[in-house]
Amino acid sequence: MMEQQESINAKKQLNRICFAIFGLVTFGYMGKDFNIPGAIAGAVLGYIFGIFTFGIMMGIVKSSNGTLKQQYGKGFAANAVSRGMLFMIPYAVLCLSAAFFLHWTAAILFVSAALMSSAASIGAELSRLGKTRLANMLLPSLTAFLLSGLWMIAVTPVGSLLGTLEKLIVR
Amino acid sequence: MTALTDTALPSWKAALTMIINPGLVLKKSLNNISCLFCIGISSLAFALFFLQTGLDLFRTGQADILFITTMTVTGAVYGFAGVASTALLTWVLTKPFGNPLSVKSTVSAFGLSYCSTLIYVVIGLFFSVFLNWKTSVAFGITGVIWAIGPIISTVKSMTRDSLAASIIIATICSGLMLFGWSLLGNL
Repeated sequence: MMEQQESINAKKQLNRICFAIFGLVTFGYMGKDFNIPGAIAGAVLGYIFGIFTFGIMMGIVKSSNGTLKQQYGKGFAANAVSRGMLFMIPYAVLCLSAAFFLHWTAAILFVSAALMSSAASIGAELSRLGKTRLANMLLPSLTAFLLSGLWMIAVTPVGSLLGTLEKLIVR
Repeated sequence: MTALTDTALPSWKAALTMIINPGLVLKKSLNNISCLFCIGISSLAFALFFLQTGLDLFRTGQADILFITTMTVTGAVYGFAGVASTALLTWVLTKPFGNPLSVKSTVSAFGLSYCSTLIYVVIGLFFSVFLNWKTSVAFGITGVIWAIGPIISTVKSMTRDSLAASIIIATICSGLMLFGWSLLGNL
């Protein structure tokens, strides 16, 4: 039980690091050159977005799977979500490599694909536990779609805010 | 629902299903689809992607018709040989994990994974030709990124659900295809 909790926590951390990478690339490359304060702030904001995303996904999975909760206990949702969201790693690695080596900084493409892919993986993880349910495929995907929309909408105002803050601090 | 999942899907339907539910295609339909059809999808996807790279450069005066043609043919070969080689590499790497898929099925699954790329590049070609947009990165790269999902699912089933192995192998395979384009584009 203890080991399982540690494994879930490790996966959660990896998931948050993926979001931190997305944040780093998004806000670090907003201007012409790589902006270190922007990258650091982006990584922190990305990490926080990761915590938020995990919580939302957990809530959705828990509330729509009463039978699995009875069968496997409370931990089933954390296990399925943490395993499913691990599939953000390839996207985060490629996003970072593409930014550093090829100067492609379209992190948003990676964020939406990563979120949708991990939502599908969460659905697959839930299918392994019980009967395949359409709700388990659709609800995480819909949530991922909304979260990637949120990321997309938030990038410009947050970027402007970070820029303003940086100017104020430098002054 | 059971009846739906128990019946093998027709080729075109399997290709589209691979985008949203790769697991279903891998379980039920892979053996019934022609390997050539599957690899044809990735070949066409990369041909159109590379064509748009050529068109983007043509608009800025950096390329001529011969270059565009060469790029398109290179893309077709890359989508065929590159995807097949990546599939073969994955097959070898996943063998120690008890990979249940044959080489042919692996190539088919990898080829089908690029169906989302094909959809993106077809839409991109429309914007490129009719609206003069630069589409190779906006649509081409996006399409290649969206192919990572089905590739992950394929590798996951090939490693019999080994999380760490499937993540590492999927990252390597997707990276090879993504960076290969950049390498070829710079030649």
